[in-house]
Amino acid sequence: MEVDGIPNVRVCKERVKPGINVVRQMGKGDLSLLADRAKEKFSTFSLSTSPQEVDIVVVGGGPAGLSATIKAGELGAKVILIDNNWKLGGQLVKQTHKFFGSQRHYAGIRGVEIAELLLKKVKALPTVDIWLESDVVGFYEDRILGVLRNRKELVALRPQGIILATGARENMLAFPGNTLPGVYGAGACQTLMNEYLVRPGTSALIVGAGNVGLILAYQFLQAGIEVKAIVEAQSKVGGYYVHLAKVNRLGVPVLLKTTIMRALGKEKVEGAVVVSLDEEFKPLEGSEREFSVDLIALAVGLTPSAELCWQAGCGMNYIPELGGYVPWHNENMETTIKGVYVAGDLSGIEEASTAILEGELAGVHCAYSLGLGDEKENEEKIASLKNELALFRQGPSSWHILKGKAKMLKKTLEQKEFIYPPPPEVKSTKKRYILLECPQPIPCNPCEKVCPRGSIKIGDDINALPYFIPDLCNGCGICVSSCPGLAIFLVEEIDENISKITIPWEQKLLPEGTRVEVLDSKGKYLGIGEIVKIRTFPDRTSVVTLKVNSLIVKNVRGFREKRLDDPIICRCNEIRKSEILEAIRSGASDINTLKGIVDCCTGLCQGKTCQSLVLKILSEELKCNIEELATVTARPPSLPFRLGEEFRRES
Amino acid sequence: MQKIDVAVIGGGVGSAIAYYLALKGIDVVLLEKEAFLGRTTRACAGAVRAQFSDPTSIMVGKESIKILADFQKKEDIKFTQGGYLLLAHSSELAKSFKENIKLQRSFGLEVEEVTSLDINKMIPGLPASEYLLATFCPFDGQANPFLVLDFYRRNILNYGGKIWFKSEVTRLFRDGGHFIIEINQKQRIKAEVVVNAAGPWAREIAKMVGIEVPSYPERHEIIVTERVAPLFEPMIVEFSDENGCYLQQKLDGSFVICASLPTVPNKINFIPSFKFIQEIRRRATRLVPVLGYLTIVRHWAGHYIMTPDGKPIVGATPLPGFYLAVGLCGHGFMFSPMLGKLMAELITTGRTSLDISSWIFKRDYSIPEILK
Repeated sequence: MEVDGIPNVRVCKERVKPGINVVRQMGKGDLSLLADRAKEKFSTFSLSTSPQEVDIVVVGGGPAGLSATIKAGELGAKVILIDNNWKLGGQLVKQTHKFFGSQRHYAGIRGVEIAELLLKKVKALPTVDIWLESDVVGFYEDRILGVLRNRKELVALRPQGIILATGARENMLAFPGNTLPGVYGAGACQTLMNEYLVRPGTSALIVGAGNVGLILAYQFLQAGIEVKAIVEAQSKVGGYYVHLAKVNRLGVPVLLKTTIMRALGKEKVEGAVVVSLDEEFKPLEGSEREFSVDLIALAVGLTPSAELCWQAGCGMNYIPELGGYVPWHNENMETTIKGVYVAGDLSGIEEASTAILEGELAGVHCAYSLGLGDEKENEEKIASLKNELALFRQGPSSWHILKGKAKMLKKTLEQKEFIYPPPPEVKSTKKRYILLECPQPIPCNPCEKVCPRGSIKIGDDINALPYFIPDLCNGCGICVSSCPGLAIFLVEEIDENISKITIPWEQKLLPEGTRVEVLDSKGKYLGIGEIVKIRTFPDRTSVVTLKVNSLIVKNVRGFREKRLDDPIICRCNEIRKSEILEAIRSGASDINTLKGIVDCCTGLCQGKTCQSLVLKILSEELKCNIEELATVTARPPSLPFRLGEEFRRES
Repeated sequence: MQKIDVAVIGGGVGSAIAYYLALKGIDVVLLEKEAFLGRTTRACAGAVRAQFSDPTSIMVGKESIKILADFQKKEDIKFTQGGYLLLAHSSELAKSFKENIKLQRSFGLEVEEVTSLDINKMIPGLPASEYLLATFCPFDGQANPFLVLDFYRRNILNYGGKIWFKSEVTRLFRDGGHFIIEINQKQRIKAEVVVNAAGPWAREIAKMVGIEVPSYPERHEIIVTERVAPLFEPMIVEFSDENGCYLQQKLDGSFVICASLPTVPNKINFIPSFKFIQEIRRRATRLVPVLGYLTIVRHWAGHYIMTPDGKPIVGATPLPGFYLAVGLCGHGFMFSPMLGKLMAELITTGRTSLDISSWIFKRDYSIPEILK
C-alpha cells in the first residue's frame, strides 16, 4: 500500500492520523515522484555515535519480557525494555479469555488484565526505561543491539545482559487464494476484534483446532461472527478439552482429518473449499465441501521469532516439539552466548504462564550474574522458579515441551506414564451439586483455590483432575464463574418435573424471565427453559440460572433465543428447517445424505411425517422436481416394534 | 587413492576456472568447503566494470563483460549494461580520472566525462556540484552472482567435471610428481595440478605448500533494499573516505548499497556491524536522497581479498603445478569469466591469450592501483 505517497508501507503497522492518504499500490513503487521531498527530509542524519551502555536490555514486552524486566528491575538492574508495539503486553493484550495455570500465577484472570497487572509492576520500578514503538533491527558486531527508537532515531545499545523475549509468529499455509483479503492469521483477527473492536468478517472458517483455533472460534462468536466450522488435519483436536467444549456447546462443528483446499473469490474471500484427508494426509478425491464464508482464519501453529538469536550466533537446534528452530538454552534460560538469555515462546512454543516463569528466571539470573542482589536470596528465587516450572510441566499436556527441552540438552528423558484416574462417582443424596466437565489433565487449579468449603480437590500436581466432594459443598456456585475453562455447572434438583441449572456464560445475554431454547454440549436443541437469574461478576463472566425440565437438566450447557420463525420439520428428532437448509447449502443434495448429516427422518416415526416435507425443501432449494432427487431408502421395520415384544406377550 | 588431473580449491573464481577446464575436457574436481558455491562471491554487489587504472584490469574486466553478455544469450543471468558513474571529489582524483580516460579509451572503452547537469538528468538529487569530475562508461553493468554461479555449476557437471561440496582442504602437500589433498581430515586424493582460488582462506592453503601469499581479507558490508520501479541504471561510485559509497539498482528493482569502512583488524569476519548501518544511511541518502524512503531488507558482510598493491595474484608459482587465483581485491566476480578462461589456457597450454603477467605472484607489490 502507498501511504502519503510513500510506497511499500505495511499499513497494518502504520498509525492512523487525520488526513492520512492510503492508496492501493499498483506494481512497484515509484520513487522519482518523491525526489523533491527527499532532499530535505534525509539531510539530518547524525554521524555515528558511540553505543549507549546499560545493564540489561529486554527485547519484547510480552509476558516473558515484562516478567524478566520486573525481576531484573527489582534487583536494581538498569533495564531498557524495548517493544515494537505502541503498548506493552505482547499477545496478552488480545487475549480476552481467562488463563489456566496456577492461582499464584494469574490463573483465572483474562490475558488483557494480566498485562495490566504486569505493566503496573514494571512502571513502579525506578531503574526501568521503556522504549515503545522501537524495533531492535539487529544484533551486531561487538554485542551491539541496533535500535530504531520511536521509529525515528537509530541508536546503538551495548548491554551487559540481554534477555530476548521476542515471542513467535504465526505459521502460514500454502493453498490457492491464500493472499486474498479475508485470509487472516488468528492473531490478526484477535488484534482487530479484541484490541480495535473491528470485526474481520461476518462468517468464518477456522483452520486448525489447537488452543488458538478453539479460542479464536469462541471469540468470533462473542464478536457476533458466525463460525461455520473448524477444520483440523489431524485425527484429534490438539487444543484443550475445555476449549473444545466451549465452542461445541455453541454449535461449532470441528471437522477432523480435514483441511482447506482453496479460498474462493476474486477480489476478496467469498468462500472456502475444504477436503478430507486420508491416513497419509492426502486429499480424498470427491470429499470436497464448500463453505460460504468471507473470513478464513489460520491457526496452524507458531514459529519462534529467533532472528536476533541467529544474528547473535547463538547455538540453534531444530526441535519440532518446541516449534522449530530454538536457541539452545540451559535451565537458567541462558543461551550458548554468555549473558544472552531467552524466555517465552522464543525458547519453545508454550503458554503465557510458563513464559512468565521463564521470564522471571531469566530476569533474576541475568541480574544476579551482573552481581546484583543477595546471593542467598537469588539462589532461593532461582530454585523456587525452577521448581514451579517443573510442577507446571509435569502433566501430559507439557510432555512435548519436556521432550523438546531434553532433546535440546541432549539428555535422556525417561518415558513417563500419565495416570490420572477419573475421580470416582461419589453417591450423594444432595439435591444441589456441581457437574465438573474437566476430564483432561491440564495445569490449572483455580476451582480448588476458590471453593470456600474445600469441596473441590486437585492436590499438589496442578495437572491432576479435579475431584468433587458433594458433602462439603454448600452450593454457593462461586466455582461456576471462576473456572477458566467454563467447565463447572451447578445443578439444583427441585422435583421430578422442574429443576435448575446454573451455567457460566460469556455470550449474548437475554433478560431474566425470558423463555429460551436450551442446548446440549453439542449446541443441539434440548428443550425449552427459562432464565431465572443472571449474576455478572467483576471478571465479566456471567452466571445464568435456567429453569428446565428435570429430565434434561444435567445436559444443559447453553441457550439461545426461541426460534419461532424456524419450524420443526422432523418432530421425533426436533430438527428445524434452518438446520436442513444449512446442510443442503453445504452440499447435501439427497434425503439419504440429509439423514446422515442432520439426523432428520430417522426417529421413531421413520420419516413418515417429515420425509415429504424434507423432499419438498430439497426440491425447492435445488430447484428440481421431487422425482429427480435420489430415491428414498425405506428400511424395515415399517412400523417400529420393541425387541422384547414377542416375549412379553407370551408371558 | 583417487587420481585427478586438476583440483580447484574454492568455488568462487574457482567455479569459472573449473568451468573452462571442464569445457576443455580436463578431468577437474572443484573442492568447495560449503554446501554451495562461492561464499565470498555470493556476498558481492554483482556489478561489473572495465573502468580501471591498471591496463590488465581494464582488459580482463572488458573481456569478462563480453563473456557475460554471451552467457546472457544462453540464459538469463540478469546481465545488463547500465554503466558506471565514477565521481571525483578531489583535484587529485580528478587528475587521475583524466589520465584513466585516456588509458581506458586506448582499450576501446567509450568513457565520457559528464557534467553536473548530465549527472542530475541521470540521477535525481545527486549533489553533482560537489564533484570536480565524473566519468561514465556505458559498457559497465551488472549480473546476478547467484545465477552466474549456478550457470557454472550446471555446466561444470554437464561437461564432465566434478564438484565436491562440503569438502574442506585440511592438508595439502607435494608427493613426488603430484599433490596429495586431504579433505575434511579424512579422504585423500591425488592431483597433478592444484589451483588455489580459496578467497579469504587462500593464504592458509598456500602456506600448506610453503608459499607465502601477501593477501588478506578485508570485511565489506552491503545492504539491499526492497524493490521499487526503475529509478536509474548506472552504478554510482563515490571514492572519498568521508562519504565513500557505491550503489546500483538491480533488475529486480532492489538497490544494493555498499561502502568501504575501515575495519581493523583484517580478519575473516562475517558479522555485520551497526556502525555500517548508521554510516550507510547518511552516505546513501547524501548521494541519492530519495533512497531514504526505502526499507532495508538485508544486511551482510563479505570480504575483499586485498593485496599490498591492490592488484590480483594470478598465475603460476615457483612450485610446479601449483597455481593461484587469489587477492582479487573485490573484483573476483567481475573478473572471473575471463580469468577462468585464461587460467584454463595457462594450465593446459602454458600460455594465455591475454597478457596477465603483471599479476604474477613474483612481483614488486609496492606500486598501488588507484581505482580499487
